[in-house]
Amino acid sequence: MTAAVLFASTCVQAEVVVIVNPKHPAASMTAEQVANVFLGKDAGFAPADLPESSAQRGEFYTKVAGKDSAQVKAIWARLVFTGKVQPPKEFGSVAEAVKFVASNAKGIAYVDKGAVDGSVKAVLTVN
Amino acid sequence: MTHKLTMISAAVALALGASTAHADFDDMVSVRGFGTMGAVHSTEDQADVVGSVFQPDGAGYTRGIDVRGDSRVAGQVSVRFTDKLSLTAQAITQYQYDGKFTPNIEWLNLKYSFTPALSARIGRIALPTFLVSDSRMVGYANTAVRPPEELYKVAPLTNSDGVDLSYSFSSSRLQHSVQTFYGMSKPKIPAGDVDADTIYGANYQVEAGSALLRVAYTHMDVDLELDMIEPMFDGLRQLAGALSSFGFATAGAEASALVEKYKLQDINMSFLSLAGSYDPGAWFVIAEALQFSGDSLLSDARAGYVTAGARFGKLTPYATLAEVDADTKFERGISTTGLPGMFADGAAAVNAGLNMTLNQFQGSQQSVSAGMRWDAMNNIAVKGQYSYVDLGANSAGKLLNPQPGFVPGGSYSVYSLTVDFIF
Repeated sequence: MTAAVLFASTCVQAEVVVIVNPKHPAASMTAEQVANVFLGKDAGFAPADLPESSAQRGEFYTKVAGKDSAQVKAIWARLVFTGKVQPPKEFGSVAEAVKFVASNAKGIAYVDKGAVDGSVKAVLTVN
Repeated sequence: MTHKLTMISAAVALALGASTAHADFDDMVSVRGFGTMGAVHSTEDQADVVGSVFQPDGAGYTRGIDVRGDSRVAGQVSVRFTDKLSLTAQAITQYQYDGKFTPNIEWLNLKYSFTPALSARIGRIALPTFLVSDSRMVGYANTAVRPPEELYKVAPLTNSDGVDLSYSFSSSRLQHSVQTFYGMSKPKIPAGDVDADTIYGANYQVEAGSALLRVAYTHMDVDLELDMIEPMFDGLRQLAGALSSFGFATAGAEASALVEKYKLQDINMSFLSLAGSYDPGAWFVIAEALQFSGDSLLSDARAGYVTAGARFGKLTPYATLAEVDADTKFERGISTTGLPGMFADGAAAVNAGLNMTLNQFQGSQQSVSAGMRWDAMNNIAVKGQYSYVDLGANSAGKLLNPQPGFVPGGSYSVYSLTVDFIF
């Protein structure tokens, strides 16, 4: 885990990709589809967040959803207190997020491209 | 704090007989909360600005600076038993009808998801009359200090005990959701009791990227017991009896008919709301309109607001224009022609009293507000807001406790400061 955190912090400029479980039928997803999942508009997935301090999280929300961290939090404050949707589960590292997606058929996460292995499937490159 | 939350979670799990490994437990139960600390000052010192119609007093007449109206703290527990079955409980402590801060169960419902798209809930559920009905009390989730009272005080009930059914679907780039619900609600207000024994409605929402459109219909069948109004009905009944027994059958029948027409039982109320928002990120605009119809003493009303704002990092300046325009019912009342002096005077007094009461139920006003939200710290937002309220002709607007020195139809300013937090 320490290695993963180190890896994540040294690769601030690393390319971020969106991954899903290999069992998921989609070969690719659009930024809008992914944004819908992470902003609580699509309950068909179990999204995973990285820590708020991570570079990947800021880049992901800015580029995919067009929202900064404060806006995303206000949106989730609205959704979470309805009890209708579950917010993304937060993982401490890229490795843990990959492991979660690999073991959960509905899992979806944004991670460094280099962290993608055979256990998960990349469906979108964030740029 | 974390320790305390863990203890609450543990108690919940124990009560539910669901004790599992720690990791499973954390996945299953989440405990969150939100709250607001607020201070309000009003320049109208002959009546009170209140946070909701459930509060007995507020800023202006009762207090120069009121720290009760906007202040609240709430806790919410969600338990996910399986992918299909979950429970949501929310308790809110806020200033209420009896002048106390007492925790109340705002929501307590079980949700069953037949599919990820189709779900049903049973229990105490948020009443979805408006766009931000779900989060009207979560200050942190909204940009402005509070939802515009011109709309949100027209339909003050926030929850109902019953069932709902929700369905969501996508078509090309659109996300649609529909909800239908049925229930009942019996809240207490400072002026008496409310018994909404039948509440039902439906709503439809569609989203495309940053744009959202929502239409909602809510119907209620309500009995009101208002201590201030009952004497008027007693007076009408006595007058009807007296008129009839002295041979003035027509006038007596008119008086009885007025009791029937304005009685506070089985009042039908309907709320049709249309809302839209566009929020591309750097700026946003929200607009909502309401058409209200009500029987008995209630006035039909049209209300609406527009809020727009821009985001500059942690600062979000915003402005709101809001208006509620209510019809003032006029009642011809009992015909005094042909009545002898004493009865004619009595009938005229009753007619005047009835029209005065009808006027009290309007509440037309418009306001312009400007404010700033500052995302000061993680999970904490600080807001300041100035509002200028212009009351409709002969109206007390949404003010409470008008004093003898209060002049209807005037204008006043409201200064609000809040700190909103989530945890």
